[in-house]
Amino acid sequence: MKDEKSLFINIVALLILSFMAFYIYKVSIDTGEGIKITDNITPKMRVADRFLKKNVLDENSTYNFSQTAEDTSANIVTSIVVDYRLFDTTLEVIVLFVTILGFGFVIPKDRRRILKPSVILYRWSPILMILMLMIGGYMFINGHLSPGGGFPAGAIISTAVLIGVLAGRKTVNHKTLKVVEAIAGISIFGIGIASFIIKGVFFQNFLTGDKIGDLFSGGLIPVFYALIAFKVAAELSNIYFEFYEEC
Amino acid sequence: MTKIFILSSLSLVFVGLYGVLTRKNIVKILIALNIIETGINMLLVAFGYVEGGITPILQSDLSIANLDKMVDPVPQALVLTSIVIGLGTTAFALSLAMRYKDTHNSISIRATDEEGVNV
Repeated sequence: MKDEKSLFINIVALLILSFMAFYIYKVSIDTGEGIKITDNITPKMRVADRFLKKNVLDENSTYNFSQTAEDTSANIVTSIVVDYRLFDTTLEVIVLFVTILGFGFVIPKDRRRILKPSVILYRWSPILMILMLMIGGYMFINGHLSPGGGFPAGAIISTAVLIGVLAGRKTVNHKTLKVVEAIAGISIFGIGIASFIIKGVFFQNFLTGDKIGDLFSGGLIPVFYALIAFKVAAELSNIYFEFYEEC
Repeated sequence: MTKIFILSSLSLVFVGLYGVLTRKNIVKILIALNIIETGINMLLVAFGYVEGGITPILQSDLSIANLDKMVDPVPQALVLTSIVIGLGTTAFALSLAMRYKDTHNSISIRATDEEGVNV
């Protein structure tokens, strides 16, 4: 890395980038004619409203609290991720699976050494693992009521597995991970096909008639989030095993 | 308030772009790409922000009455998607960097003329 700290290259890059940043900032706060990115004070100017031409906020809508006008969850972000845009989410899970698969093929599997864990980490890791598993379970069970959901829950659960791997404890083996991942992935599409048979539309929510705000509400949303949490947790723990265990 | 969000996210994007353009170390370039990704996620969330908005969660009758004050939930859902994809691609790129270190014995992107040099 000879010319990483060369003064000329850094100054030229700074000049070009500051010019581009000024131009983009000027365009993005522009409130004249043309594209208005930040004028989102009124609901009619928002991204969803402008691109979908669909307004659920008009006065004729019969939406009340604890009514079943829309059979979705209390957390609107969750109902977008797992109900309105469920195709996006499932294909994203497939993309994650493909990247992890390529990761396992590409990573070199020789000359790795593992440091011996300290006594403190070895003794404390079960306590930390139990706390993290509790928080992860709470995340995906409560994902349709509060911020959280399947992807953060999967990340937290896989971090618990990572602590076990770092401490040299016995956690789960590869075969269990693969089986969990396969069952979760097949179940997501199985539920989709079941809703096609029952309702006629792929991935439509067929468990309706519950109150918004209850723990068991939102129909299929908690089920999908639990499956996604287990799939993401299995895939991410696979990364840690590839990095630390096979040597 | 929206101006502050846009300024901070754009500055994050350009800090990352500066790192990509000037660094030669592969790991540093990957860190800079992650900084760009963080800035773009923040920019998407900032586009859905409403002045004096509340969180898009139906908590009580008060939040039902103020439905038009909620921030736009669609960009937040898209950002949730892009964070997970970013994690997968970062892991894949790091494994590629490990393979590069194995074959070239260096993590510089100019390894052809300094091969055999331990960086």
